[in-house]
Amino acid sequence: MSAGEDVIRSYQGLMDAINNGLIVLDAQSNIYIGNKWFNRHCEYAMEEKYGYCVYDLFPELKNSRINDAIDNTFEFGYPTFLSNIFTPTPFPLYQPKNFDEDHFSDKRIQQQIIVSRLEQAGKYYCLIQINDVTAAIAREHTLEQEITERKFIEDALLESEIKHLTIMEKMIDGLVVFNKAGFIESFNPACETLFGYSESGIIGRSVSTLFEGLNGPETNAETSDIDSDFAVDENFIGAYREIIAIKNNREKFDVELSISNMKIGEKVFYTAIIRDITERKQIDKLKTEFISTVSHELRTPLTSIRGSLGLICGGAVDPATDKAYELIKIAHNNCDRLVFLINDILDMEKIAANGLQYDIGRHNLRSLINRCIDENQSYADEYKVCYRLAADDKNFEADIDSHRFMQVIANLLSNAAKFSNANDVVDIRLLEKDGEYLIQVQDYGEGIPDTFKETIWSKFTQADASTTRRKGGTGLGLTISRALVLAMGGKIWFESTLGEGTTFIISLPASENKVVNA
Amino acid sequence: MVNQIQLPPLEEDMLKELFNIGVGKAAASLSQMINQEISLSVPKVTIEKIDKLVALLGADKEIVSISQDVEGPFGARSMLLFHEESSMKVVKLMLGKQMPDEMLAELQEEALTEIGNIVLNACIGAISNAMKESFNVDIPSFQQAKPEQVFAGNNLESESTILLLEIDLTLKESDVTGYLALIFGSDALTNLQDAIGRMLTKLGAA
Repeated sequence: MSAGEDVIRSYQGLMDAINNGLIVLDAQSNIYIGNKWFNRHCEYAMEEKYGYCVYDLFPELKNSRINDAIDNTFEFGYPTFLSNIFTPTPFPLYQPKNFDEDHFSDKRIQQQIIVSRLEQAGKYYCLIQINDVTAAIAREHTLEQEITERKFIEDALLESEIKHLTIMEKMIDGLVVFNKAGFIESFNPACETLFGYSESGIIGRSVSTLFEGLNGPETNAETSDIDSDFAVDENFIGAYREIIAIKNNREKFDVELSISNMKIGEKVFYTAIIRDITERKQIDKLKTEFISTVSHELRTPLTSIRGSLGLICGGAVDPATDKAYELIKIAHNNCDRLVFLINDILDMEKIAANGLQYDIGRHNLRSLINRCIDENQSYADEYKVCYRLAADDKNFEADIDSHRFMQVIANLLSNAAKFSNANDVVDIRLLEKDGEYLIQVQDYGEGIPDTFKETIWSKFTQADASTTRRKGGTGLGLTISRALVLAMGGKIWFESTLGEGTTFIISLPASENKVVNA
Repeated sequence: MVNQIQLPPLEEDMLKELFNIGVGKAAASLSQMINQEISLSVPKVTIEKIDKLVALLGADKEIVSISQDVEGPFGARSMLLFHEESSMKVVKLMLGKQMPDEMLAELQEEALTEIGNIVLNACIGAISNAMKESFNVDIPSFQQAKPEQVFAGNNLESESTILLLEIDLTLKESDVTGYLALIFGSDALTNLQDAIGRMLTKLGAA
């Protein structure tokens, strides 16, 4: 062994201490020296393999890029840097064995290799440095995944934000978001147009600045406790209600307002949707005015027609023939009907305008109901229906407007007759329960379909348009009845089973001192 | 040394031919590495001053350089230069498009170092082989900065002479221009010319 060879081999101890793979090949690609690092990563004890050809130890290196690199090093003397990116695991080297394992796992370590030339005593050697980058790669992968995930989340977030923004921006309805303390957090462009505030100008102010009579904190956010809850008007939660809104210039206008609450994380927010109904209100008003004008104008001539016909029918004037009398009788009856209809319409308009006068006094309900039954019997006869009153033996005295009460009962009686089958009975019961008087009007007709139950109290509705034709009526009766009963401090509701009939129930307080909402 | 260096046409041809062989080898190893077709154009060879190269690259543009020192019959520094955006393109093309940009930036240095290593070594190998001369080459080093800083970091003065090869790296549909520069010390260019002269003599051409 020459002195030159000694120089390289004298570094054995130093090389063994290095935590990288180091291997030196001689010009024949035989292993000249290798460090102990290899012993931990492959089945060979490297110091026993000196003199073996590297391609015999690791056959798969033959014709690999390592092979090229070794050849080039000897031939041209230049070093080669093999990145893990392009050739991740050139050497068949594995993760170190655990103490209880017989074999290496089949998981190769990721390597980064530098092949370079050494010159010692006129001879060329090839130094291969192997750097285990497995841990670094794993870290990179985690990082990569994290980045990808974060990117994905960010993208999703951005997308939803954009969507959200677009929805808010493009909405025709006003959208205001306010926090649980009642201070405005966001204000969409539609709102800016409606109210004349800029978003930046209104944020942080109380939601009550926008509406007349809506609950809200008194002061601005700076001076008031942000964390204190304020009570949102329950009426507006989940339903559209009309309210008067106030513009920046103090001008007032009609809107529909609906508030819903939402939870973002732990925070509670309210979103208010505002719809401008100024135009609709105007149209409504026009319609109302039109109807009431027309009705008044119709009633004036009708009154004189009815009066004249009444005089003839009553015998004040002699109808020329019996035939003429019959015809005049028909005309008189229909005149009565027309007057009822027009009165209904006028009542409705008055109720809507809160203009109906009530003449409240103490009355006996039983005698009023009896009168109603008498008056409606002729109408019921047309449907071959008879009324049957059953009353508890009590003194049913209540504070009501007798005329309006009879109007309600008459309406219920005529309805019951109208929707009964021929030869049926309509049961009317008068009873006392828990300090209230209950008046029940029960028919055994076809009943009210479920779909119709919700709209029964609305104007101009009947179960289906065809019943209007069959049974007659404007569909205003129940609407008016309800308004009247409510005004007299009572309640009205119904129970109905399809095919078995309907019971309308009115309850009136029996107490003597009650406030009348006229 | 004269200001405007001009190689005799025969010597220039010889150099071009040498680099051609080298670049061809480089292309072959690159293709093998990434399993797709790659072509490197015939290089344009010029001899310039460093400041000319700075101007060519654009003084205010970020560039990346992979450099390897060469020691032998002549001493030189070989450098592969890309514009920063081109270099990202190269890395992206080689590593695949599904890789997120953040990762590409992380891997850029290592990937480019290897690419530079292959291209530079192929050229130097070709030269050394053809000249039948032996060279010692250093391990490649990576740098990313403005051109002036890159050259300043390499202790090169603006007056230094360089042998500049312009090569186009074409990978599938997109192509990228890179510059390969051999930067010589004060007398190295003369040594190179001597070496070429010897070679031509051996070939019996001159």
